Amino acid sequence: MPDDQRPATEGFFAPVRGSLAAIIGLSVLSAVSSVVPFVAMVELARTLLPSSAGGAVDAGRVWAIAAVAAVGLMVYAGAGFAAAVVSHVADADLQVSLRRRIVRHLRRLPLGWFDARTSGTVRKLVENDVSALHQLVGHTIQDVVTAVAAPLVSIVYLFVVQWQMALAALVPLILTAVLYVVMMRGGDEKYLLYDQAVARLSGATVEFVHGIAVVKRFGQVGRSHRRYRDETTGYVRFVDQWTRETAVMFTIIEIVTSPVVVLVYLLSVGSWLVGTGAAPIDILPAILLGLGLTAPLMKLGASANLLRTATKAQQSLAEFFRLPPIPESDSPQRPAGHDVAVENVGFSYDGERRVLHEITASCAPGTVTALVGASGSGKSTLAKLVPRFYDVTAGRVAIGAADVRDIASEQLYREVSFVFQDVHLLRTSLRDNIRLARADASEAEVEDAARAAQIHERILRFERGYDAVVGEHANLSGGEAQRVTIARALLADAPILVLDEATAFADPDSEAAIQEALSVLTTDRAVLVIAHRLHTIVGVNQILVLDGGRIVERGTHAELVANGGTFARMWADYQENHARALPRGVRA
Amino acid sequence: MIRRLLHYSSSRARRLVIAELAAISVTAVLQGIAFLMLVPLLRAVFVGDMDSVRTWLVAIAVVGAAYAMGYWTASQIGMKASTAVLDSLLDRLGNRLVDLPIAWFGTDRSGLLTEMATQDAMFVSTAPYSFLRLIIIGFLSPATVLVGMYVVDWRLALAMTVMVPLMVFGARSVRKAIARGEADHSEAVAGASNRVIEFARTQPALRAAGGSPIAERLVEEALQDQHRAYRKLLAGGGIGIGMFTGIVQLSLTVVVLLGAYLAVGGSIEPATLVALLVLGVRFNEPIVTAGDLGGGVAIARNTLDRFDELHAVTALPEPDKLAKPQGRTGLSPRRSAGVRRNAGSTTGSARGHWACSAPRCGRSAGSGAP
Repeated sequence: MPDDQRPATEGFFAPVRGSLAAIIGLSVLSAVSSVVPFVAMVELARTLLPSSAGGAVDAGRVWAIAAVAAVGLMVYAGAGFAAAVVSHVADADLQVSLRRRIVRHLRRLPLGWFDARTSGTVRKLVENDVSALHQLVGHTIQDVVTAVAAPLVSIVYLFVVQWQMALAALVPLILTAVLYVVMMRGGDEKYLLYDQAVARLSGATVEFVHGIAVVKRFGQVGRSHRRYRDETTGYVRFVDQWTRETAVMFTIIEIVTSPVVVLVYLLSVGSWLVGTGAAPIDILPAILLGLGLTAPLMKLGASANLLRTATKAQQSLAEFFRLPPIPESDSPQRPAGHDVAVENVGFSYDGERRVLHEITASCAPGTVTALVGASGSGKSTLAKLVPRFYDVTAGRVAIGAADVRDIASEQLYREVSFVFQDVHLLRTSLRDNIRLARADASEAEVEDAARAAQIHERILRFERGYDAVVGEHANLSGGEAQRVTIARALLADAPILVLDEATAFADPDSEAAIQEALSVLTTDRAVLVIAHRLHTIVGVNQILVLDGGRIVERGTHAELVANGGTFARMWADYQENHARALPRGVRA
Repeated sequence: MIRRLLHYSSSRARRLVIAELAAISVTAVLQGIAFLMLVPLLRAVFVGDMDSVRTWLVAIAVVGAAYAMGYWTASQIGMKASTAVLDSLLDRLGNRLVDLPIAWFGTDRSGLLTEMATQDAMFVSTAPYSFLRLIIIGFLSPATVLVGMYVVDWRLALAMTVMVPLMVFGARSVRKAIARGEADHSEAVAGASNRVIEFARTQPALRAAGGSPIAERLVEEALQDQHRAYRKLLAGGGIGIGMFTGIVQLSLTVVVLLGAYLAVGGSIEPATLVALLVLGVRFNEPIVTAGDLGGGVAIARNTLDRFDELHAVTALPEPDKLAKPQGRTGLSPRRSAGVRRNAGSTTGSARGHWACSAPRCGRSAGSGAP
């Protein structure tokens, strides 16, 4: 896609730019031809009326006029319809191109961006914001063109026929515009207040809903219900007051522009003009056309709110596209070897508060390095720096002597695979979930990986086996899902593996299976493991103990226990609290 | 639909809505009468009978004044009615939530319920004024004109009458076509956004997989599905709207040609004919406006469906007849969850496309007539 190279904010409407001319052209054509039948009607009257004094009717002329009117009607309807079709098709194209662009951008954002909030944000972008633009492309262009062109052509025609009547017909139009401006004054502030009122009501509803399940068991829904009631009362009062404020003006506008009132007004002016000597036929155009002058304008006003939503949506999309993608090196390097080196690394999420300080460590192929520490000690953050979830603030992380920032993303992920706690399964077949990294993997390879990950047997128990779709035919427990991701990592076969040891699962069997699966995964690789249960890392080559973002101790299990430092205390603590709960066979 | 709306209103709101609709009906008839009076008035203007012009002008002004008063009343009542409906909707929603079985809250419903409390309730409460009114006017006003037309010239009146069922048929087929395509489209939209969200959520795994062709294919397929469904909706809706527009324009053409025929044949007085033709070309505008509102009606239905579904959950039999005393909260988890699952899948999607365009999307090309 060419717009991939453009800056984020540009080229937003590029996919529909070509259609724009067509939409405008067709709308103008439709607006202009909409006047034709009315002009024909006037001409018909001009031809017919003399005959009431006894003259003959010019039949040829009558039929010609009728034909012109019919053609005018056809062109008007046809062009208007075509404009609507073109703009909706353009809207469909814009939607799909925007969604594709969102997908492309997602692919390039730093992994750190993807956290718990992601689902909501992405849903809003892809569903609400993209659709909100519908109004803009699908309707507003045509509405605006029509609202300008049709009255303009009508008024020009009216002035050509009879200027006093034309002037009279202009009055409701001008009055509407003026009243609208008056009505809209201070509207922005009101909308802001409205948004706030909606936000408060939403908050109260969410609180009510979330609280209800918990509170209901104890039979005291009272408080959150009261708050919900208070908020709805406030909300209704606000809406009521707002409606009252605008309703008077709005109703006046509607009455002033209503066909009946305009008709009475134009008839009065017309009759008066005829009384002072104007030709009766000359007041007809204004009566015919004057009735419809304000309608397009009113329509435009009615869509103002929808337009407001569309503009907001456009802003939030532009903001998303402005998020900087993960920087790729211009001269990518190839790692020489598979050893990981962390050199003097410092890291901060927000640029102010450092969560990692001066970390230096290395991790050679064929060894296992364990990261331990209390939650918040920085061990997960450190592990995530290797596969570039985040980029370091100071120092560097290198693979085979090449800075990870200088390694092309694809190359990097051929080097590093990772299994983190949050399991990511796609709603597709188990087979495809396992061979995610290697779509060309053979059936046998997939099954081997599943077998090694202790999940093969479980998969066969599904009716559709490897074809079972996750979430549809296959509902997996947390531990089972974890083993699928381990099978995936096994099949990917990267020389470096970063893994977050699963937190305690309810059933001991699942844990034993996971441990077994992991032990296969860790052979011959450089492994970095975030450890939660200390009995699993008794035999590792190196343990790094983190505290407050610094490495406070390092060594083997035996060394650290003998040291009598932080780790020794953690180990003693752990044994006391957890030993009893350990499954058979994993006791240290 | 009116009945369903009233179902969720307090007795005060119900009275106000009914009064509002009655006032609207009166103004619609008055509008038709005012239009009809155009015929004798224009005739008088053309033949130069100024006394008659003055008489009719006074008469039409009186009708106009009554119309304006009716309009004002309808709008004032409408304002109160919409606030009252909003109030009772929110009140009912709150009470319903208290009564719902806990199992219903097993999955997170806060998004759906928030939307119901804010957007949906607002939409339903303003529905009588924002489009039921236009639909009523769209039917009553032309009907009044038509009845009067028979008195003046039965041939033109007959021609117009013939077109009415065609227009109604056209408007209905628009609505059907849109509803059909809309259902598929909603599903496709939901499918596409779920895939994109999945794509975002599983991004770490996908990156690790080195830009997985499997995941890319899934997303792309979903996006194409959605695009296809949208185009199908446009094609289906487009054909419907095109047909409706065609019928409307055809009716005008018929009136014009019949007028020309009558004029050439000399079987109608020219001044009356011209006046009738003026009426003829203006006659169908409210119908067109009403026909435009198909989309709005569809959304209103969907919205009311959501309230109905919520209502249906509580309507499940509560096991308070059981011997066990703790059966008070009335859990019926399996069935209530089933009812809701349906609701959940259709809701988010329906708004995606329509919420923005509200009652205006099903708009026909023939609506901006000057």
